Amino acid sequence: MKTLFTLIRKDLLEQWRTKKILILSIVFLFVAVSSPIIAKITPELLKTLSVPGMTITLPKATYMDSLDQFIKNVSQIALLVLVFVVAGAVSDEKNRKTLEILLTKPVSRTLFILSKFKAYFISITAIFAVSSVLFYLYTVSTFVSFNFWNFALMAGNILLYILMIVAVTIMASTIVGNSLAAGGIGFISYILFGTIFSLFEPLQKYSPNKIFSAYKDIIIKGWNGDLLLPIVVILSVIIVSVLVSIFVFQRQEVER
Amino acid sequence: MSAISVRNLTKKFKLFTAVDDLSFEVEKHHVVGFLGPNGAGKTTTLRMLVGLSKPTNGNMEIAGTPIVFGKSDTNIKIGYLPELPSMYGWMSGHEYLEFIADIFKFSESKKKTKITELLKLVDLTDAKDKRISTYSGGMKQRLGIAQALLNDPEVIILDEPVSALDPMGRKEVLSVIEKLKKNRTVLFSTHILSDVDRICDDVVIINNGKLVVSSPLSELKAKYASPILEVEFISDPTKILATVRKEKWAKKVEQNGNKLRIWLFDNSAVKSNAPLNFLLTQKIVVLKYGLTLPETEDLFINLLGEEK
Repeated sequence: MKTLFTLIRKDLLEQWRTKKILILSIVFLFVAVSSPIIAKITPELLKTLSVPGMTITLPKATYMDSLDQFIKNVSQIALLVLVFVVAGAVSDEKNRKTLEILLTKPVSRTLFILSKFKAYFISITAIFAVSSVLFYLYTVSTFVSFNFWNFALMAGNILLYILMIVAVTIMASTIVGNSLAAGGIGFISYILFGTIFSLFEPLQKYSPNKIFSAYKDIIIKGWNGDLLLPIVVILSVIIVSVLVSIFVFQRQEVER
Repeated sequence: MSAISVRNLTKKFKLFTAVDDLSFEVEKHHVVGFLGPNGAGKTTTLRMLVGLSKPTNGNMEIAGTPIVFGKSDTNIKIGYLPELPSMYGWMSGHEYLEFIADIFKFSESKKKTKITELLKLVDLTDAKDKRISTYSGGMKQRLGIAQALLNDPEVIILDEPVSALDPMGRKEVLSVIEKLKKNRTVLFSTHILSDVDRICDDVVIINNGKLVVSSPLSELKAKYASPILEVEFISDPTKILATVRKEKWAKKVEQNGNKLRIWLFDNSAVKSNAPLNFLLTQKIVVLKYGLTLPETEDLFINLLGEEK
């Protein structure tokens, strides 16, 4: 356990010193702060576009519009940046040869891979949690108050989805030797999760993307039983990504 | 029990065989030079020994423990320095050694003492808080040596440890390696053959992935190295160079100013005084005439066959 802790601490310090945490924090905090603002000013902006003879009638923006904007921004801008920040998790160590010395120490390959997953899970969870709380507070102060615990439940589900994409990206980073390719695979996986499940009717109830479409239900009613299967799929993808990464890495040679 | 045991080791990359049925043993507390021309398979062998590369065939042991690719069981016993070591550039030298010490689960006091001692040994005390990304090649090499020694390993494997160092740095690192042989086993690859002469007990020479010879250096010199005559003349001996080369006892001749270095086929020419008698017939004054000890370079050339 001490070795795993040492490796996780090193990875977190690396994320901090190489400004990965800073980049992700800026992106997620921007999404958190900008979403309520965009929701608030969009109707005003559209009104200014009206021309004589044409009347644009728009409903007044609510906290639901702010949530809508938040979900859109997280699932598009933030996830795209996240995938390319995480893509170098293992491949950069291979390309820069920094793991040559490390793997000749009493560090098992399993612990090395686990440390990569855990370090990114910790930092991304922390950044997303802070951003979500900030978003909630800003939305409540701009619009009206709504149930925090329902919001926390919704944010928790979205976090699971984000961690699934991170897990797939780290797995890609372990399998391929190039961080750009790993980022590409991570991004494609995000698109595939959105399309494959929606193509076939019987698969739709398992779609991880239900997390995004069901957020309004959770905010209004709380826990939605329909999300159980998508959550099981998400957790399964995370576990399989970790296991595949360990399996592949244990058999990989460190090329010169 | 040998410190390192390599048996029938083979490594194939698709159609190319980098290491071909290689077997050798390294005795405990010996410093062993691992030699061979470029592309001989030295680095590939060392990388298999430290578990970075997977052998196609064969067995290896470190101090009696089998090396299994993908497992880290033998890593507690080894210290490894790769050629051109890469360390985390965003860490300082001190932080990097602390990180490695934490992996070995050192206590705080042991960590502090050992790191201070090693930083002093590799002369990085003043630069310990600078980022590794700002270090020169030589500084990185010295930090690499420090990390390899941190756990007091039984076996130290160094891949070209002095190739990136200036003469002073090289001298210091060689002194460090020399000190280690009291209670450590060192296997190091190098192409600087004078370094082998200075610190090695044994040599393992490979070529095209195959073992050429594995033996104590002194025995090898006695057996394979050609005796060398060093002759100094009063004036430039260029005019007699071609004639000397034609003599049947001369294997190879090199000129350096007023001096000639003549590699002989064997000692019989010396015993019969043939070279001296020949030189005295040439119209040039001989100032010095003597037999010199063969060096590893001569041995290397002899074994791997360089032409006259």
